[in-house]
Amino acid sequence: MSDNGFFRAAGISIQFGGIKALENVSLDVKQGEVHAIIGPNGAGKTTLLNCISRQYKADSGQVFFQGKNILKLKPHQVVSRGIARTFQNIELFKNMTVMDNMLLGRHSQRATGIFSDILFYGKARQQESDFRLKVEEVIDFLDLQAYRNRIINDVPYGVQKNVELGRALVMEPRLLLLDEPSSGLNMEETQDLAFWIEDIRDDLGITIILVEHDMRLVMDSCDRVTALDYGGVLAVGEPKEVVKNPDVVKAYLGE
Amino acid sequence: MRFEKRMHYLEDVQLFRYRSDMAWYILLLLLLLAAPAAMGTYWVSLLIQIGIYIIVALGLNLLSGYTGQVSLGHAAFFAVGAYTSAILTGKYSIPFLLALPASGVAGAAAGLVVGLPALRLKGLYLAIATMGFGFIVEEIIVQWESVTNSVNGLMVTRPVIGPISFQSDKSYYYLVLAVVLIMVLAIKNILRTPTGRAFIAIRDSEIAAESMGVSLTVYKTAAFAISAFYAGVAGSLFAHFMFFIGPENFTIMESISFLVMILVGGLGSVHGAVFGAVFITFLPEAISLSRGYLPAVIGEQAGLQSAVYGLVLLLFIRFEPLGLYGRWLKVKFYFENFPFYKKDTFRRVRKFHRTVKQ
Amino acid sequence: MFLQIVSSGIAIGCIYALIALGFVLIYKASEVVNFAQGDLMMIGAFLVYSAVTHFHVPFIPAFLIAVIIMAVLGKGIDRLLLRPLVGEQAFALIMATIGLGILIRSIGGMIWGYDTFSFQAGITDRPVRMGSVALSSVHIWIIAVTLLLIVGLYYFFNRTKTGVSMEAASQNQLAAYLMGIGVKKVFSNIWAISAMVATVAGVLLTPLQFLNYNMGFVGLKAFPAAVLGGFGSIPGAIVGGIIIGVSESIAGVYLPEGFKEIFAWIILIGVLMIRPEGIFGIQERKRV
Repeated sequence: MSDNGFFRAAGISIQFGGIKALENVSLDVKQGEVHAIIGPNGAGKTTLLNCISRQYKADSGQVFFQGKNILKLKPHQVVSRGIARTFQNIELFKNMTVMDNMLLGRHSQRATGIFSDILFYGKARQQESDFRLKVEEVIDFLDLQAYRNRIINDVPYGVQKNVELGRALVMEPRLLLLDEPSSGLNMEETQDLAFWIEDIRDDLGITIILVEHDMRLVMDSCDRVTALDYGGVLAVGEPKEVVKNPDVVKAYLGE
Repeated sequence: MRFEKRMHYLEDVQLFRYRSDMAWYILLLLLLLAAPAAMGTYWVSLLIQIGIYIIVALGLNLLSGYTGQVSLGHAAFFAVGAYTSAILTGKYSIPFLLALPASGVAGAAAGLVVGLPALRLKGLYLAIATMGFGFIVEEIIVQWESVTNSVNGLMVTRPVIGPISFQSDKSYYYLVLAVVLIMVLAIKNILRTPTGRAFIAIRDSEIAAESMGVSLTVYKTAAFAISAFYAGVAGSLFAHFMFFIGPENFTIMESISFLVMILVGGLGSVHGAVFGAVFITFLPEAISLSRGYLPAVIGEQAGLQSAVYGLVLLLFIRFEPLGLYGRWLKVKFYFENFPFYKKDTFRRVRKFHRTVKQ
Repeated sequence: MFLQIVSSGIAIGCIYALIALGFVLIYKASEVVNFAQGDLMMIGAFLVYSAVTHFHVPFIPAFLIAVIIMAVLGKGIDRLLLRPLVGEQAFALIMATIGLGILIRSIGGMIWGYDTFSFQAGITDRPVRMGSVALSSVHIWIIAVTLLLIVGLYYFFNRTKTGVSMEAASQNQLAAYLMGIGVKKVFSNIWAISAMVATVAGVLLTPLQFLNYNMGFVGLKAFPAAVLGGFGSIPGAIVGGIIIGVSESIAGVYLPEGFKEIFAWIILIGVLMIRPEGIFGIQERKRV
């Protein structure tokens, strides 16, 4: 696969009632890299992520993933192309157990229809067993064993964040979108997250796009960075270069 | 306290969690099989009514309790099933064994008709639109005289399957029991597979469900169709049980009483549907029994039944929103964990934020 | 002829609009949908009826007494039923007001019996000539009182301090609370106002329809009106009510039998298919 054939968003624009949230934003992500999107509050980082996963409908632009334009798909179809995501303010199923939440991550892989589910025999039974096997792998990966059968409402915030990450991993995506994965986490949890991000890239071979405020995490774990401000791209490059870029410094610190 | 040792992943989703549970359910089944022998006809007819309501409640619970889509027009699906069965067996002499699933399918078709436009509606608007659908179906029954015989209603006979006649209440009871068991098993299977999880996911967060690859279109419509299928099957059993159906059996009050059933029984639980059906059947009985013991001023009031009905509904919402099944769980938890029960164990999580309007 | 159909449609539409107004006021403030609004209307109408026929109170004082009793009843409902349920799921709230409606209806039946009464509410029906058309005086009364009430409510919510603070609380509870507005008191007042509006609706309805413990079911037809109006806007509720009333009365004359009863619902479902948020509604979107 050619270098920029993996993921490329070009000319994305969207406005909400006259306010231009994104204007002609482009984003290139190479296969196998961790790509951070940074920028001050209101720069349009989450909006860009929402446009990619189709929660928002971009006014114009194109998003190519593995050579196919995904900007016309519905949110649930984007998932079956191999793009998983997490949310800024945790969108878990609050009245379900950790296990059931993660099992839902397998939903896009289901091979049975509603009728064979009603009979729950043969293939449906086997599939359920396979789903659980995959979920257990991820539970081991993220150390969630202790919370397996707890209701989401009853587990701490940091664990909820991990469950959401786990739920995305269960999908076995090729591209993972993380929206502020470290927000609300303490030092230790952020440290774990940094390790996991590396493991996800190196061991699971998943490409990651993450929106992040914690610059240390960005410096340590990300391969490339795109900086946004006022809905436009300020700079793209390696973390070390981007933080030195005068425009980026100005955006963060003012004149 | 009980300890569990699991050797296989599927043990998480077996029908009975413990061996003792299975023993209890087998005992219950045996009691149900023996019941007609020990009871008078009147009690058997109450049991049949409970069975029919259980089927409706299971379906409605799947839609409202699990998928989170309120339907205030479920009597319409019930009516579609009842009339389909009455007309197929009566006018066209089609055997009951075919008419029963056909009623379910007719109900499901009506469910699709409502479900598709309902996709874009949320919460309150959906409730009002389904209520409107209920009124429309009621009016169609009244006006479409050539088929439904308008307000004069239709006569229905008890079914005969092959050599077996279900003429008597006691034999019809076994037929209803068999259908109820099949319907319970089907819903249990739905709930332990991806289909059921997708339903619950939609209830908890539509956005997250979509980002898991759950198609809202497919699953919301499916929830309506399955739920209406249940109502249709129940309607068929109802028609053949009552011998007679007319538009007055399918009013908005009937839809409301279906909702009361799942609310009082317990939203989002199969047990709740059963408890609710038992409750709704026995409440009028209990009231008419207690009339004699009340002071004449209250006891002789014609509106007593609906007053109690409204009051019970309010008390449940106020003090036990998890319904009878929730209460049952609490009592069970208390004994299993004695003496470690804390008052806050089951404290409700309430949300205080409002819908964000943009 | 056609103008008479329209004017009677507008008259009944005004009643729908007033009931819808009750829904909307409460919904805007607390996101509770009051399925018992029609039954409150029934109680209000019966109170006036009882005062006039049983206690021989003249109509105007009887009406004022009923309005005051209803305001107290509204506050009572808020305090005893709705306040403990703040923060419950929408489904529980819907069922709570449905239960309340059943309870009120059966209590109404216990007090006033199950018969139907005729009550003219101090308005005598005679034709009023306006150029070439003859309109019913009852219809003119209904339209005039509704207009007056809407102007009054508009003034109240936009010009008086209490009203503005109520409007503020319904837009943003937390902000209103931080600005020192007692949100609980606002809810309580909203319930009082909406019970008072229900009384007016009830009194206006009685010359058109008979008094009966079941008359609250008319209130259900105000739902299409409120939904058309977007369930949150007062002018929307009025326009919605009149659209429903007029089209229903036209359907009653020109369409086959049966359509009149369900025409409101057909319009409702039709509109919702095209615009799921109602004609005047605002699309709600959750932020992620």
